Amino acid sequence: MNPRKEVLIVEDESLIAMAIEFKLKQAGWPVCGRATSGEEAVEKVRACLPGLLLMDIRLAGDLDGLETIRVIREFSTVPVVFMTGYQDPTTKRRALELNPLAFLEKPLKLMDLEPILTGLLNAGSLDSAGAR
Amino acid sequence: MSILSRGPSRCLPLRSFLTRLGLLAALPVLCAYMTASYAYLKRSRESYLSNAETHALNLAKAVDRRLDYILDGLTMLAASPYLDAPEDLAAFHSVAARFRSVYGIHVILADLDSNMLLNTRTPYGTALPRLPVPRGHAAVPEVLRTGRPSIGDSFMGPVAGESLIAAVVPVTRADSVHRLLLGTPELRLFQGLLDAIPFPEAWIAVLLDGKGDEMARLGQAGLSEESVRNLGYEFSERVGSSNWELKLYAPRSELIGGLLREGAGWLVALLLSLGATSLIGIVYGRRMISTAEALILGRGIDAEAAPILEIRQVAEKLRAIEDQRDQSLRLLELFIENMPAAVAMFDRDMRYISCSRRFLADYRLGNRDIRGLSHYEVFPDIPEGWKEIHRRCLEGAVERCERDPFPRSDGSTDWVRWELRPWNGSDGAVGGLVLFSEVITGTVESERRIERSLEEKELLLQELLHRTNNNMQGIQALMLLYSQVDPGADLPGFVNLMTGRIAAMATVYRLLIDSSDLSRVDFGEYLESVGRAAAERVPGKTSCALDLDIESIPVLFDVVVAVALAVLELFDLVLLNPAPDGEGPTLRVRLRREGTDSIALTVSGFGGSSSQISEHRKVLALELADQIVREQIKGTLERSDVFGVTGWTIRFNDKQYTQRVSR
Repeated sequence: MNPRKEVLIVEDESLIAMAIEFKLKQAGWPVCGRATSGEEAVEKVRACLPGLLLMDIRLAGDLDGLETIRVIREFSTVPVVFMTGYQDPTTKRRALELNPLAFLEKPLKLMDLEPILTGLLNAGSLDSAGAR
Repeated sequence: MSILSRGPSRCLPLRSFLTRLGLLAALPVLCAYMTASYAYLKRSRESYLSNAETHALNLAKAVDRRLDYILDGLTMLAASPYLDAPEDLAAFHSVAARFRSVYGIHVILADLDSNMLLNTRTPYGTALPRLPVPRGHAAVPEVLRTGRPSIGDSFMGPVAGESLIAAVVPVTRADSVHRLLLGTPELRLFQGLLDAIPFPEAWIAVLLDGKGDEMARLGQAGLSEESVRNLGYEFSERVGSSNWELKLYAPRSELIGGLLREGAGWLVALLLSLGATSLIGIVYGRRMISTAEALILGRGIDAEAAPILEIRQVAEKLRAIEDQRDQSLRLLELFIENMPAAVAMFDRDMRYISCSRRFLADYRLGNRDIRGLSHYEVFPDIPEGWKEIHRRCLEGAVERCERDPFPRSDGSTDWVRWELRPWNGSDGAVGGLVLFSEVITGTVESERRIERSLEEKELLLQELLHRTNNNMQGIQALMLLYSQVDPGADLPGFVNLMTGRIAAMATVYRLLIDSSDLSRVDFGEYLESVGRAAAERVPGKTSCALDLDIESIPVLFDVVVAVALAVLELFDLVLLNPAPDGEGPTLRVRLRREGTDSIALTVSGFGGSSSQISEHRKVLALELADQIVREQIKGTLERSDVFGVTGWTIRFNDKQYTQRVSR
């Protein structure tokens, strides 16, 4: 069994971030932190070197989730799973250009989050996705 | 080149044409004048020569008649009986003397041997010499030979001592010449004869004997023979039966001078008549040219003043046409001027012919009279692209544009819809352009506002969908957290809790729809609404009063939703465990703006520990409220107890919280 990667949750809705963190920790996934903005996410990726990013596309602040990934890609190949409440075709196309592991639409079943990540882990995606 | 020759490059001014036409018309008159002049010259010369010839003939005749007269007298005298006997010669001398007095000539009687028998120049009996023999023609021998009278050439008289001529008649008796009778007139006789005949001063007439000696002369004296011969015309007439000759010289200069004098008169008359004709022609020609120019150049003329009937008629017709045209133009100008659209009419040089008042208003030209001005003078900054469009349309193209920016001199930009098309003159050629235009800036701006509004609406819908999904996610998260943290909570209480959260979410959307600003809602109104709903929702609701002290503060939608989640946790804490006071348990809510950016929200009335709320739930509620305030809206949550009643104050800066990025 592959060792579980540390997850960084990037979500500007604190309640949702707290619930995701709670659920992941409950399933045994280490969470290295939460970030509510793109700028904060970039700092925390540099600081804690997560193995996976759970990234909301719509974020408060100057950077949205997509722009944040572009910045992170300059120094890290950390794999990313996008979350969003709504995406128009253009946004979705832009997101797919960044080669995410998965694209999750809200409201997502928090119960299903852990099995999805585990499936990605077992498929080896978490090892290679960032290098693509 | 003839003025009638045709060619594409041949083009004469009207004045030159009419001048040449006048000269051409005068040419036959000049030819006729030249022909007449030639005929007159010829006739004058012939007349002059004929006159001279007649003069010569008359002079010769006069001399001849005088000789005949002398010979006749001598012939009569020769019949005198005193010549029959020698003794009667003395008597004959007397008869001859009377003859002399009548005829003015002396008489000589000679015998057949040329011995002079008597001479009236000397008394009878005087010894007389023989008859002299003249150089040239001698009459005596001829009379002796022919027996007929004869005239001899001049000779020097031995008795008279002067030049004489001899007119000799025979004295015939019994059919034979018996003696000779001579009349010897002096040459003066002939000079006097010629002098008595009227004779032009410039002419010269010379009476010559047979040997060419001059016997008498008329006219200028002192001229050498060569000068006389070179004088001009020469006429010669033989004088009767003699071998005399009369020569007449008529000077050519006199003929020419006369002709010149007379011709000069005619020439002056011709010039005067031509001058008078030209003057009249010029006066009338100029009037006609001025009239024609006015007609051709379309200046119009006074029909009453037109000098020629046809021109007057044409002028009247033109005036009628011009009046009709002017009326049509006035109607057209009136029509264009009052058109409710922006219309301008140009000539080929893009000069305004007319324009509507709407055009002046739309293009901010006030009440300027721009007729006759160039479009490029009125709008000096017009782009080159427009000029190119004008050129194309002047070649017949029709162009239009539904939406075109029109930069103003003040830096603003209007939008115009326009159509530019040529108009044709009566000859079918393009006479200019007509511009139909409409300033549609208002329409364009409205369309843009609508487009922006639709875009905003679409964004709003996207945002609402996002928010709804997020909120559902939030409710789900809340349920998850509460169910995990407080697994012993009763189900009705849990359902009540979640219902309150969902109602609060619904309320914010209702307020958002009613808001004039689709990004903000009135936070005070929202708090009052969710506060009353929360108070009504709790069990035993009448046990807790509601005290609201709230300002109306518009706050960003996202902030409201986040703060609401935190505040609802605090409301639940208070409502489930209110602090008793004098007036009964009360949920107090205060909302104030502090300074320009900070907003303070105080919720108080919490009464401490209670059986209605577990410690886990209390901790979770405060932790949720704290994390939402701290992480999501970057604010602070502080406890604020007053007189033993627990409360909390949330402070946040709504200006720091930017709207969620929407992409």
